[in-house]
Amino acid sequence: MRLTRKARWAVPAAAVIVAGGVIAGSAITVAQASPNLPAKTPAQLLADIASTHAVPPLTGTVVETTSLGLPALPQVGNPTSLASLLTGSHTIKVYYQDGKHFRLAVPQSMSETDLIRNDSTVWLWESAGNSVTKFTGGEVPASAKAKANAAAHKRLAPQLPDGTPLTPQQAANEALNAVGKTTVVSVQSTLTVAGQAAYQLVLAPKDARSTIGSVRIAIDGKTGVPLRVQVFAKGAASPAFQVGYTDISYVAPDPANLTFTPPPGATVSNGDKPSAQSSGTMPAVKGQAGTYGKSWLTVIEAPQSLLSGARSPQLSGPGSSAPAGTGAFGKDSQAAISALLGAAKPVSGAWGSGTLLHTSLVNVLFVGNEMYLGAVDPSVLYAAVGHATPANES
Amino acid sequence: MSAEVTDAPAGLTAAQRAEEGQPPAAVAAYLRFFGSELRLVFRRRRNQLLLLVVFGFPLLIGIGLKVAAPHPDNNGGGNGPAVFFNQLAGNGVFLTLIALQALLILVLPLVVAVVAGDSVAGEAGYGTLRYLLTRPAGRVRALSVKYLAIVTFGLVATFIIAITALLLGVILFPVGPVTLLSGTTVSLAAGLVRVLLVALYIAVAMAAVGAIGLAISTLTEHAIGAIAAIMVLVVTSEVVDQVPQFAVVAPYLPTHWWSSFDALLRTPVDTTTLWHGLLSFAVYIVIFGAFAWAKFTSSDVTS
Repeated sequence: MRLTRKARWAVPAAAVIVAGGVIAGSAITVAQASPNLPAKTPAQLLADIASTHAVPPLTGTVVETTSLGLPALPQVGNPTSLASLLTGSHTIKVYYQDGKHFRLAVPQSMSETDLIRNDSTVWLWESAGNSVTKFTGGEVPASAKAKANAAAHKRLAPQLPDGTPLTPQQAANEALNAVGKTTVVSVQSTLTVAGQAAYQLVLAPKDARSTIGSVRIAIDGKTGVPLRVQVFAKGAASPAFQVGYTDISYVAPDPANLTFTPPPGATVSNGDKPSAQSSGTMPAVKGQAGTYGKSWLTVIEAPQSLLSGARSPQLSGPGSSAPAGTGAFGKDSQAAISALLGAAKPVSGAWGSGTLLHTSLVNVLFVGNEMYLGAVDPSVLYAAVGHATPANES
Repeated sequence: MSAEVTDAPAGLTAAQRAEEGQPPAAVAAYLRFFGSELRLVFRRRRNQLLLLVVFGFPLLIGIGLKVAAPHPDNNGGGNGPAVFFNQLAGNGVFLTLIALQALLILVLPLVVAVVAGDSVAGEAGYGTLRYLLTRPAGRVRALSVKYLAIVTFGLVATFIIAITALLLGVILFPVGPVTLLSGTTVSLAAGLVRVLLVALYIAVAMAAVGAIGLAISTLTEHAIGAIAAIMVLVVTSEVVDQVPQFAVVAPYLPTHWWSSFDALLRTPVDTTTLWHGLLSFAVYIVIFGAFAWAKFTSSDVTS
């Protein structure tokens, strides 16, 4: 190695350039050319989704990203806290054999939450608490789903409280429920998601009062499996919410990954009891929440105490009054809620007065003890004040 | 510090012999050179004290946790070493993970920073460097030997923590099959293999700190300045890693992947995360190793 003194510096410089090039290169692969797939109409694609009740066995990683443009929330270490759920991204490992044999793992720093279904037995494992919850009901109880959601998902989604999507399949089905006279459905240029050639189904609301610009669903060209769902706010270039596979392979998962035995020393509780009392949905929410409007303009009305009081039937049954300050959100999340409420601006009109929290996708109006939430223009929220229909009547 | 003065020329003669000898002899000479550098590092009183401190911390943590007696109901969902507490009550193996995780934040990088920062700058400061730098070809050898000694020191410090904590965990707590983060229980032997891999992963992370330290060390004659600079860099990186506004750059920070050793504690092992971490360490080693090489082999010998 006979390099002149100055030439030697080319070596570390080259190392930096190569490393930078690789990083930039991995970012550029996102914008690669559209793959070739036979042309399909939206209806054909919808049928594809409808037929994916039989999803092939697969192993993959789902990443969920939320960027609602919220004010800076107090930073807490707990990855399952509200502050963490409303911003940033979360990863879910999916091991799917069939509808009765699957495992969803939510890895977090030094901990993990797992939802394992093996035939009629469903296990919820939370390593941070060293606790296991066992369900033997057959269907995945909503409370378990909500807990898994709590580990992985935002809560202020424009969906019904127990309908937060857990997988792209569910998310796609829910978005398709909104299809109808209210929606412009189109198929746009194909793209590659998680290495698979995919169609892109675009749903856009016709009503200008919706804050949603479009919902884009990427559907695997071969298997019909929804690979990614993105929700764009009106006029936004990047999605406010996105859940999709970052890698997927259609191979059956190792059976060892689908079995679960409660580890010695763990607290095992029976999760069937609360769900038996509440017939599988969140009773505290169902009794007090209401909705207004339809489809894209749906507004959810709920008591504000939901934020500070009982949230999950796991923590307080429908009969018991919630102890003060012991909601599903811990102390960490209370700080986040305070920050959110602090960011809300006072508004008033013929409907009354309250405070409005504005994000890129969702608007929340606080009036008295109630809050109105929807992916809609504030005017729709004002119209909803006092007019919501209780959910259990519909 | 007479040790440096007497040992450094010994290293030089080894380097000289290495150049003149045949390949097998060159290897032997290189190993001799490496051995003398190791003696230099491990005989230094300051470094011995560091290893003693590193030995003491797991004892402190283990006894403290035994006294505090982790309670099964104490299920904080928080971050930090606390998340292993529940398992510790049932299995002493987790003391190793608690100790490694706690010391990884500041103590281990400090130990590596002291040795790395001192490696070149220290000799330059003492005036012993000129013996090493008289021949350009010998410089590459001298630098590589110094880096290997830093890596070895980091490895030894990591394993002192791991082994001390493991032995103390066995003494103070019950030991048995290990429950992984995914809720799967593996045999004690398989659990110990995972702990070993965790320690090796952390040692690689420390090797990356060592490379950065070596590069900084070639820039100055003041060892303390180099050590301080390394620690400032480590702490800054750790702080930036925690700020959500910098999330875009977080994966490229030198400290970002340190705590990703938890990937080894899942079933199946999260190899994607693991390889990301190791790739990050490798990139830092290559870039800063090349920087140190360019600086060290082209600088004038003034001291």
